[in-house]
Amino acid sequence: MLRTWNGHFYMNDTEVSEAEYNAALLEIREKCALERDVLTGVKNIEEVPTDWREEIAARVEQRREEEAQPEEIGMEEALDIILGGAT
Amino acid sequence: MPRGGGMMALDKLVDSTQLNADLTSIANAIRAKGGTSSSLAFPADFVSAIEAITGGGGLEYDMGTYTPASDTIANTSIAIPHNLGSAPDFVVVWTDFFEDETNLPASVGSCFGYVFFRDLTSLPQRLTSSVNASAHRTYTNFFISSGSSKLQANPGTSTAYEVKLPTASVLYLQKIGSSTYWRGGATYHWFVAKKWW
Repeated sequence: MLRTWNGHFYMNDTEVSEAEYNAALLEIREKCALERDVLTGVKNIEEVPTDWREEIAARVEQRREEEAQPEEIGMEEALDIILGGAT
Repeated sequence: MPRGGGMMALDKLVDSTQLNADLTSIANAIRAKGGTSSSLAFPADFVSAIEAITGGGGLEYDMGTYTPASDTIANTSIAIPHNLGSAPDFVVVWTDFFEDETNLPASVGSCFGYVFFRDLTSLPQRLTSSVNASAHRTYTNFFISSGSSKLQANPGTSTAYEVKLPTASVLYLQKIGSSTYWRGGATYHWFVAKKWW
């Protein structure tokens, strides 16, 4: 988790430099893009850099478990779906 | 005349009881405005207290950003510290992350943020969240339901969406009741404010 607060930069609640923050942000975005590509089938796990492969495989597995749970939606969204987005 | 010392010239006779009462009135007004109960020595503390009083009315605020390290399901409670020292009256959370819809599972939505007004419970408090990859929509009619400690849509139902109310030191990112995600790598900006005076 990355945070900024009052001009300071934090990585998992430890203060870091702006350069460290930017490097971590870049890595997070690359990993998240790869995770989504593997999750949606755009890429195979073998196309993920070996350093990140185990981590991303675990994340993808967790996401698949989460998304397999039935989604609860509110009445408003349910009506919207039934009416085809007419609301 | 005191031995060995000078004495200031006296040119006025005053009613000391009235003078004390008048100074006490002034001190009470200063204490009320400054939010203190301390005793104030005349004139030094009076001067200091008056100089410390800032201009009337306004907002105290705090702000920052939060970036999830990965897509985080929105019913996970994420606590963001703030330094207002009391529960904010106003909260905005937003992101400028625009989804690449080809990159996201079509069945899963993303949280873009929310707006919360503590005192305006009579108004629909719009909560922008849970945007599906295939359609953009906002949920309306979020409000603090009677007896609830949460900002809710569809209160009283089993599928109520909820955001925890902020506390004196923590702002929450949390939405219960839907499998939407706070997007990994998306920078969520938060702003909290409270009225003073």
